[in-house]
Amino acid sequence: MTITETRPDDVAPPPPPTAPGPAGSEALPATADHKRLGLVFLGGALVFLVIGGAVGMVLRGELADEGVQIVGGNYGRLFSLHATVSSMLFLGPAFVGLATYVVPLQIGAGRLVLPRLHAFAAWLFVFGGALLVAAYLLGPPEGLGIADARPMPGGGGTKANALAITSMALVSIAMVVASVSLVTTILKLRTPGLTLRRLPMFSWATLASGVATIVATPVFLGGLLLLFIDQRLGGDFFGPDNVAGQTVWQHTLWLFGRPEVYLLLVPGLGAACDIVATHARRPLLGLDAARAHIALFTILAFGSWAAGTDVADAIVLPTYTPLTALVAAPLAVLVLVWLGTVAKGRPRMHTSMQFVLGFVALSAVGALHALVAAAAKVDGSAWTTGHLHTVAFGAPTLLLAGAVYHWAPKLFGRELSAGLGRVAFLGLFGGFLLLGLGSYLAGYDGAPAHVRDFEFSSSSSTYGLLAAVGGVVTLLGALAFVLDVARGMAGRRTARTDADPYGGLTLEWATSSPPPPQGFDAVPEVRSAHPLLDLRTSSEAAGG
Amino acid sequence: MASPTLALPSAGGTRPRRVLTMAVLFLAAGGGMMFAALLGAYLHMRRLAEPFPPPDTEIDQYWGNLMVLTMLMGSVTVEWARSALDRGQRKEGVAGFAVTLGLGLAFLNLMSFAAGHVEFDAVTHPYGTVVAALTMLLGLVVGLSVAFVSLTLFRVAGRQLLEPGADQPRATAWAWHFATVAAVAVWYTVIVLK
Amino acid sequence: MLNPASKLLLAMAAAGAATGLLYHVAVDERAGMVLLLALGVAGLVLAIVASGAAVPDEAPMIPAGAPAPERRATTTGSPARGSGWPAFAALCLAVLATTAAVGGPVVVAGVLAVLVAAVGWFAKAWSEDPVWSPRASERLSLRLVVPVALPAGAFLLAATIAISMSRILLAVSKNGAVAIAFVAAVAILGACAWVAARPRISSSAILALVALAVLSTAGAGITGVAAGEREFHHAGEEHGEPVHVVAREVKFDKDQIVVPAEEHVRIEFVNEDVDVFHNVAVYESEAPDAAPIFNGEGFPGEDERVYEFETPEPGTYFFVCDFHPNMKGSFVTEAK
Repeated sequence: MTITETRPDDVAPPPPPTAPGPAGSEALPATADHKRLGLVFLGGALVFLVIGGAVGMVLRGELADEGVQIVGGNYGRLFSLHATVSSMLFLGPAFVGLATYVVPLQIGAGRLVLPRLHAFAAWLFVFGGALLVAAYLLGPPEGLGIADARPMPGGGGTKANALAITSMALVSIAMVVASVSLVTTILKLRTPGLTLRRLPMFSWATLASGVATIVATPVFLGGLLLLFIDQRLGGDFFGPDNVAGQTVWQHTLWLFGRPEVYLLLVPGLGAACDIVATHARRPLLGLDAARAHIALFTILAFGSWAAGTDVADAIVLPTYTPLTALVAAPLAVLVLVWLGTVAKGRPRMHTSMQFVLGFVALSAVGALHALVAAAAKVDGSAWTTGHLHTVAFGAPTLLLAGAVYHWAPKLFGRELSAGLGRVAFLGLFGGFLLLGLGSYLAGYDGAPAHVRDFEFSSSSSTYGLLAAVGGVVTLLGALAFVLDVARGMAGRRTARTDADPYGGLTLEWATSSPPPPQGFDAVPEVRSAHPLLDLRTSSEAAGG
Repeated sequence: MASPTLALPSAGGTRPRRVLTMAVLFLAAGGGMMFAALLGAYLHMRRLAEPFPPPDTEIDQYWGNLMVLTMLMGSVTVEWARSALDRGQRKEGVAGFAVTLGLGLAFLNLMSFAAGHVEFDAVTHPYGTVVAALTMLLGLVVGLSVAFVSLTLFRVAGRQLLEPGADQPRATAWAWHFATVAAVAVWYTVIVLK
Repeated sequence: MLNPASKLLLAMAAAGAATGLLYHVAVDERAGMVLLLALGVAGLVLAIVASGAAVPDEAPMIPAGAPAPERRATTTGSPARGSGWPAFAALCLAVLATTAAVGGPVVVAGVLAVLVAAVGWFAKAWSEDPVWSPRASERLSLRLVVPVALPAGAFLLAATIAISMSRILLAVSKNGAVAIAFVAAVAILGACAWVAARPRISSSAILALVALAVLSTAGAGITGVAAGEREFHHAGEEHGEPVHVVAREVKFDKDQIVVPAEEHVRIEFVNEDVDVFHNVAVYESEAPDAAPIFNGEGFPGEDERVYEFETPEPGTYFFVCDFHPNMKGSFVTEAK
C-alpha cells in the first residue's frame, strides 16, 4: 500500500465548518441546555415514581388481610423493589431535575458551568435506574436489599444481586456528579450583585444539599463496593460471623445511607420558602434565620452517623438517638418563619401553597406520633412503615409537587391545571395520611414490619384495610400529578405565558415563560435578595 | 418573541476561572469520604476480630512502601509540569506530565503484581474483603488520575492549555495529589498499622 | 474571606469533628467515628476551596441617591454547546456495570466501550479548543491517524469480527454453527452485490451498513462469550456421571459425595426449600479458615442449578451450604 504524503499547502482549504444550529435544536441525547436536562431528570424520576408506587400498592393489597393472597413467594423481592426505587430513583433525582432547570435562572446565569458533565449525570441516572428495575425483573435480589437494617448474607449471590448493586452505584455516581455541577454553578456563575447572602432560598437549599450529597453519597458507594465483593465474588464481609459487618452495613448501606433520608427534604424546604414568599407577596420574614436553619438541618442530618450500635432494635431507625431527633428543631423554626410571612403578607391560595400546608400538616402528624410512640415504648414494628411514609417520603413528596406547580410557567410555558392540582393534592396528602395512620395504628397493635404475613389480631384487618385504601388514594394522587406534568411537557414547545404571572421576587421571573435557549435576553441589576420587587417598587415610584 | 440584546455586557465579564479545579476538589472530597467508609470498616473490624490480621495474610511492606513513594514522586512531577506551563515552558510541561504518566502506570503495575502474589484473596475472610475493596478503590482513583494526566498531556503536546494559570493542568495536579493522599492513608492503615 | 458557603462548610466541619470526638468518647465505635472525623476534614478542605478569590462574593457599592436599578443590565452570553458524547459515555458506563455484574471476559467489552466514549469526548473537547484549526487537524491526521491509528484500527476491526464470529460459532450447536456461517456468507455476498448494483450510493450509507454489521456481530459475540462454549466430546474421553444433590428442609440428602480426582465434574443441585437460599461449596477442611475449592452460586428454592468445576487431587475434603452451616458432609476425591 502506498501512503501519499501531502504537504498542507498542497491541500485545498477545507470548507468552513457549518455553524451550529440554534441551541435547544439539537437532539435530546446531545443537549447541554439545562432546561431540557432538568426535564430529563424530572421525567425519569416520575416514571420511576409510578413503578415504585404501583408495586407499593400491590404490597399494601397483600397486607390488607391475613394469609398470602397476591404476591406468593415474591414479597421480599417486591418490597425491596418498592423501597429501593422509591428512595433512590424518585425524590433525589426529581429535586436535582428541578434545580437543574430553575437554579441557573434564579442566579441569572442562563446555563450550567459544566453542562456536558451534567448531561452525563442525567443520562447515567436514566440508564442506571433502568438497570436497577431490570435487575429485579431478572431475578430476586436477595432478601430485602438496602431496605433492611440487617445485612444480606454473604457467600455469593445471584447475577441479579450484582446488577442491582452496580446499577445503584451508577445512580449514586450520577447524583454526586450532578451535585458537583450545581454547586460549582452556584459558586461561579451568579450574576453581578447576587452575593451568596442574596441567593434565592431554593438555590441556597440546593447548595446545602448538593454539598451534603457530595460528601454523604460516596459513603454509600463504599458500602456498595463491599457488598459487591460479597455478592459477586463470594465474600463474607456481611455474613453473620463478622460482627463488624453489621455496624458497617448500618452506617453505609441501610436505607440509602442514613443522612440521605434527611437530605431528600432540604431542597423542598428551600422551594417552600420561595413559594411562601412569592404567594404571600412579600419577602420571607427572617430571611437570614431561614437560611441558617436550612444549613443547620443539613448539618444535623449527619448526626445519623452517630447512632451507635443498637439501632437495629429502634423504632424509627434514623431518629433513634437524641442527636438525630434534633433535626426537628430547625424544621419547626422554618414553619414558624413561613407562618409569620403569610401572616404579614397578602397571601393567595395558589396550588403550590396547598402542598406546603399539606407538608406542615403531615409533619405535625408525624411529630405527634413520634411522641406517642416514645411514651408508649413501641418496639420496631409496622409503626416504622407509617412514619417512613408520612414523614420521610410523604412530606417531601408534597413539597416536590408544590414546587413543580409553582414553577410550572417556567418549566412548561403555562400554569398546570388547578383542578388536577387539587386532585393531586387531595390524593397525595390524604393518601399518605391514611396510609400512615393505618400503619401507625397497626404498629401500636403490635403488628410486625417487613414480613409477608403475620397473625392478625381483631383490629389488624381494619388497620390493614385503612393503609391499603391510603395506598390506593396515594397512587391516584401521584397519577394525577404525573398526568398533569406529562401534559405540561407535551405542550411545552408551543406554550407561552406571562413571564411573571405571580409578581415574583427573584430573577427567574425576569425572563419569558418558558425561557429562551440562552436563559435570559437581559438580566436585571441585582441590589438585594429580591431584585424583581426592587424593580417593581422603583417603577411604581417613578410612575407615581 | 424577544431577541437577544447584544449591546449589553455579559454577566461576570469573561468565563469564570478554575471551574474544573473546583469541580475536581469537590469530587476529591467525596472520594475521601468513600475511603473513610472503607478505612472505618477496617479499623472497626480490627477492634473486634481476633486475631487481626488473620493468619497467612502477610503483605510485603516493600511493595506498599514502593507504591507510596511512586505516588509521592508523581506529585512532585505533576507540580513541576503545572508550574512549567504557568511559566510558558511547554516542553517541560510535556516532560513533566509524561513522567507522571509513567509513574502512574508503574504504580498500577506494581499494585496488580502485589495483588496477584499475596496469599489471600477477597473472599478468604472479611479482612481480605475490605483490603481488596481498598485496593480496588485506590487502583480506580489512580487509574482515573492517570487517564486525566494523559488527556492533559495530549492537549499540551497539541499546543493547547498554554495560557498561564490554565484550568485543566491545575485540576490534573489536584486529582493526582488526592490520589497520593489516598495511597498514603491506605498504606498507613493496612501496611503500617496493620 | 469567608462567605456564607464557606461558613456553611466550616460549620459542617466543626460539627463533624466535634461529634466524632464525642462519639469516640461515648460510644467508642470506629466506623462511625472515622466517618464523622472525615466529614470534618472534608468540610474544612471544601471551606478553603469555597472561600477567597475562587468564589467572588462582593456586590458593587450602590451610593445613596443612585438611580433606580436597571431592568436590562447584562446578558448571559451564548448558550452551552451540546454533544452526544456525554450520553454515549453514560450508556457505555451502564454497559460496563452490566458486564461487571455478569462477570467473565465480557467485562473487557465494557471497559473498551468506556474507553471509546472517553476518547470520543476528549476528541470533541480537543476540536473545540480555540487553538485548534483545520490545518492543525490536517497535521495531526498525517502524523498520527494515517500511519498509526488507521492500521491499528483496521487490525482491531478485523480482530473484533474474527473473534466475535468465533465466539458465536463456538456457543451454538455444531449444526447451528454451520448454518450461521452459511447465512453470514450469503448475507455478505448479498449486501456487497446490492451495493455494487446501485449506480450511486453515499459513503455515509455504506458506513452505516458496515457499522451495523460490525456492531451486530460484536454484540452477538459478547452474547456468545456470556453463554459459554458448547460441550466438546473428544474421541476417547470419558465423562463421569453427574452427582445429584438435593436440599430439603435445610438438610442435604447425602452426607458424603464421592467423585473422581483431578477431573471435570458436574453436580446437579436441586433446592426444594421454597424461598430459602442454599448452595454447595467445597473447602479444604471443616476449619473456619479453610481455603475454598469451589463456591456454587446460591439461589432460593424451588429451583435447580448445575455446578461444574475441577476436583482437586485425591483426598477427603468438606462440602457445606454457605448459608446453613449445619448442612455439611465429606467430599471424597478418588484416583482413577
